[in-house]
Amino acid sequence: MKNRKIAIFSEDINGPRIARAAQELGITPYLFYLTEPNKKEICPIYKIDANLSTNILENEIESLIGKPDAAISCIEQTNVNIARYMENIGIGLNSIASYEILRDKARMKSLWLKEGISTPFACIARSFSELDLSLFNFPVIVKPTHGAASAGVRIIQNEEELKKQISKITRFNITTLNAEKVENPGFLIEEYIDGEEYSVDTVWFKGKPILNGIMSKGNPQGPTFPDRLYLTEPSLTKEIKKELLELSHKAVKSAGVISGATHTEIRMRNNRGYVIESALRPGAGGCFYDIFEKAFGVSFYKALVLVSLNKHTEKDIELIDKMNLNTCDATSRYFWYNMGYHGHGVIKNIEGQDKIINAKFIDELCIRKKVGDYLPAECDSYSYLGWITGNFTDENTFNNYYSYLQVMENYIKIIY
Amino acid sequence: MNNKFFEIFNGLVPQENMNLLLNDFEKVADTKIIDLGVDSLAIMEVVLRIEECLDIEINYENFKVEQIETPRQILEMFSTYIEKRRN
Repeated sequence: MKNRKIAIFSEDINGPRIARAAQELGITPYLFYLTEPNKKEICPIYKIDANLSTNILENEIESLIGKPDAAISCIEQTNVNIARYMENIGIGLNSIASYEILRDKARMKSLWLKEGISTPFACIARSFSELDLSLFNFPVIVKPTHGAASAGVRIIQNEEELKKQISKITRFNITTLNAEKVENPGFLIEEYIDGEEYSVDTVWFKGKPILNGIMSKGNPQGPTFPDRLYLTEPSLTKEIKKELLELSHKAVKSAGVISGATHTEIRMRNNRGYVIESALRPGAGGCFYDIFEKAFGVSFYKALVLVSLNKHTEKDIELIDKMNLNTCDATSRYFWYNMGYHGHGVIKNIEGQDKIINAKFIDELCIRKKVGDYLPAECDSYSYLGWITGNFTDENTFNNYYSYLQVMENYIKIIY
Repeated sequence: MNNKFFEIFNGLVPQENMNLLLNDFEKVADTKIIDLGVDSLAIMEVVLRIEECLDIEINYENFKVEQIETPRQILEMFSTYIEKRRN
């Protein structure tokens, strides 16, 4: 097959990792970032407005790299538009509807409730006046229909808190979502499921799950639910794993997904799973794939590149089949921890990084923001300050890893 | 009003655009604030700062972000609220 090209829409941590995987497979990668690249990588990088209309986006990409054989989007907010571009040039693998459903919490919720897929009960509305509060008992969860990174998600104890949070979500919808041109965004009021939470990242190929990475999130209690700790859990029982995989696969398949990466979040209560949400992109933009490679010894990045191609060689299929044999069982606690922060504004300085870099159990510290960048208030918007990854190799930390990571988190001070 | 523009846009636009906003307003009055350098994630910050400057709580159910798309529109918003307060 002629030299194949792949367009990767990402940010500057995971994009290069996917690019490297593509190169190792003999496929030529091109990176597209939403912001100006600030360092050279192993392949050409372009800044692009991924919210441009489809024809303009097509012309722009064509002028830069020609027509790619595959495209991967890791950024939730641009997924639908990139899907339209892919369909326009004949390399789309999933219907636009699949992307639209898994971008819109209202649509995925309605679908799951209609299909009888286990999910917390919810109502969808666009203003407080539309709500029928008699349908719910507090506490409830309220969230925007088009969030990401748990922006705007909050547990609500009473009507006054509800009104306040709806106002915040409405503000998020009309400001932050504006660039994405979402029509009629709103919010969900959802039944609160108190129980352990898990995420399931799946790489799909022609309707079949090839690789599954399960991570434990603990039982976050709120009041907000920022993405925090995800870790591979050796003590995960076969029964829970089966429940998580079956439910996540059902939820994703109901949206018509055929090939690509999905990330699904599930809460358990009394050994029953409730799917919270799903997205047609890798978890945390692809960060978890690095964890999975360390934990399971298989490259989810390579799997994603392979399944994203619209035509396959025999060698591609052979590789996919081989990957499919990996059961992805964790033998150690590899973690990804998104660091919390206080305040919001333009960053004047970030202190404390040196205390973390050499700390026990920490492999990598990644700070996504720099001096001069705007950092929104955590949980009001979708912007990570940064994260740490590592491996809890010492059994003694099993009960106190949260505390340990919070100590790390508290080392970081943002000066606005 | 210069003070208000400084409070609203401080750190969110490059210095040369801040200088234009403060000293040569008509040159940038009708330029979209995104084109002046405001990050799309920072639009919410602009709105929060407008609320602080005017000491108001915006009713988001009736508000459209197009109302603050340009510096001139923000200036008009300020004038409207100040006039309402006088009356």
